[in-house]
Amino acid sequence: MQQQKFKVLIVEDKKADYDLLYNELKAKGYNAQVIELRNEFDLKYLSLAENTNDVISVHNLSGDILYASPAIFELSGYTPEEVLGRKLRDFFHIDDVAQMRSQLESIFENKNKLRFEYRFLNKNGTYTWIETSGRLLFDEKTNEPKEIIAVSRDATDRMLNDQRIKTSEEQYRLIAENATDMITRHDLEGVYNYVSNSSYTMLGYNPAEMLGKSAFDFLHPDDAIAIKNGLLDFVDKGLGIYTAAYRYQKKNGEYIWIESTNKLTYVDNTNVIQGIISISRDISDRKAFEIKLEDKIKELDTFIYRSSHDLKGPLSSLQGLLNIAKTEIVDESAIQYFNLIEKSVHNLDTILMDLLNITKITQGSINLVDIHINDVILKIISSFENLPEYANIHWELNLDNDIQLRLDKSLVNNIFQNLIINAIRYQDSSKPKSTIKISTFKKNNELMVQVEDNGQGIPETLQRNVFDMFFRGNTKSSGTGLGLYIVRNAVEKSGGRVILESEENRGTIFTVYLPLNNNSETPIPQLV
Amino acid sequence: MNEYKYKSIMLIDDSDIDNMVNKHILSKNMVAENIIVFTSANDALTYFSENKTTTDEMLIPKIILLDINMPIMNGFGFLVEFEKITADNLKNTKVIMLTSSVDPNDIRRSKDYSSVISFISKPLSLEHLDEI
Repeated sequence: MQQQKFKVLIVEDKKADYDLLYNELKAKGYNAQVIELRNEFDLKYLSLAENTNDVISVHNLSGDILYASPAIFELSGYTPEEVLGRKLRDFFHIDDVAQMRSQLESIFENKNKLRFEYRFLNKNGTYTWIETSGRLLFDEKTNEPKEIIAVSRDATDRMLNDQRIKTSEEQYRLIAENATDMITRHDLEGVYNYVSNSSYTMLGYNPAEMLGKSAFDFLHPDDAIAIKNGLLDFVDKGLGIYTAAYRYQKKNGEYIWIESTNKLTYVDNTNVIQGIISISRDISDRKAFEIKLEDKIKELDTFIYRSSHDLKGPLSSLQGLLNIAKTEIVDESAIQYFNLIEKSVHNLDTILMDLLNITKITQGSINLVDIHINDVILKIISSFENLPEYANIHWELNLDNDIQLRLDKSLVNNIFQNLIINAIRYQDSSKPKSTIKISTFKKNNELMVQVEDNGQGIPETLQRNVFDMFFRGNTKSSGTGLGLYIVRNAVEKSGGRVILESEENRGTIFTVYLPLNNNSETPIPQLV
Repeated sequence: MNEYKYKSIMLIDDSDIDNMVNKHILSKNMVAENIIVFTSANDALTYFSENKTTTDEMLIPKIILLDINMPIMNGFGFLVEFEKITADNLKNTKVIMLTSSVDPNDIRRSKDYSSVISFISKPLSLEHLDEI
């Protein structure tokens, strides 16, 4: 048994001597392997074959394995001895048999080389992808093909990789070529180095017509500079995604609106920027719609503004007439009617003024001036002195002395006029004392103004709607439903925020935060 | 009897009701003895050119109450033409805008005219009379 572990190689060119030796060794229990050495397959090559990682094998023309190098054990789990004398096709996967047969036939036609990939049955029953190249060995005397010598290696990784690359390439091509969006690649100058087929449907250009040209050459002159700067900035910062909308000239000369999402690509495994990949789509329809929508909004604002203004004329005539009438009429019941008319006229006037205020707030330009918030608040309070409800109010003012801010005065007035009138108007008459507390103080670079009352309060269910346009939370109210809408808009336009806390029957606190250092002409709007 | 504050005042407004109301208030409160009313700015300009040379204070107003929104020629159109007039008798005549407009642009624009001394929102009321 011990002896079987040795392999004995017989190097002998005389047939008779060889046979003698072979039989003798066999009889002694050695496992001898038959290799006949000739010029092209001498000892040197044999030792090479024995030591290489690839499997070297020799087959006769009917596919019997005459020699297999030791590496076959690594590959298949068989020792060379186990495969010796067996037919190669015994190790083929059933699906590869036909292919292998035709490959083997072609080797005779090509007279020499062959290369193929097939699944080899391992000793443990599994299959391994093998890549084999082989060539014919010819008989020296007759020059007839005699044997096949083959080099084989495990191709599992390569096959899987190839398969993966093939699948993902196919997928990417499928996506790029069939997407309605146009996919392009650019160098950092904007020059196209890949354009997907959808360029034709979107722009009328074949990809080839765009390759090598800069994307900026196609842009509308009014957009080109801004987009170029935007992109340069994006490349400089080297981060994220840059989305831009611009006009692009089609082949027929027409401009369409395009929106592109741009991303940087990097040289593999480095942070060296290679180029830009863009996905672009035609947004002309959306843009046309947006423009139409903007026009409509403008039209609507103008309509509100104009109609409020035009209604103001006849309304002030009415007020004028009432002023005279009051001084002259003595009839008791007539006076009562005139008082009611006056009340209605006054309500109408309030609505119109609110509507005008809204257009002023949303449309108007911002005129920054230095404001002393305490003066503003005191002035507003005194302007309400003539209201009948004013008499019941107990005021508690807690005003920080040196607060000065730079904001639009009419916006600030609108905010506090509405908050204070609400506090006065919605007092709770069932309470012994109606109190309105107003405090101003600085907090983290912001002005904080609190208007707190112990009035009727706002039910929790209504609190989220009170800032909406025309929302009236109180059936007893004579308000227009625009007051808090105005507050919200004025606060946002001033770059601040407003917070509501309220409990029904307990009272309400509005807290307004306004920026103290307002250097920018366009405050950042913030949601409430 | 109290004296009238002015000999004459001019109203330029296309609204007959407003003119009637304003005239009533101005005369009742002894603001002006003679109230000259025009419903069109053009007619007012014609009036001034016809009375270039007169020195009668009953005919040439010290104060003009001017509306802004009027057809054909609005208040600003009138101001442009009015300030071109070089007649001596209008040297001391001042304009007060009396309008239903609350448009801050209108208020701002009025200040560009040297003849305008004040801006009153309609309706004209007793409180406004001191300004006049």
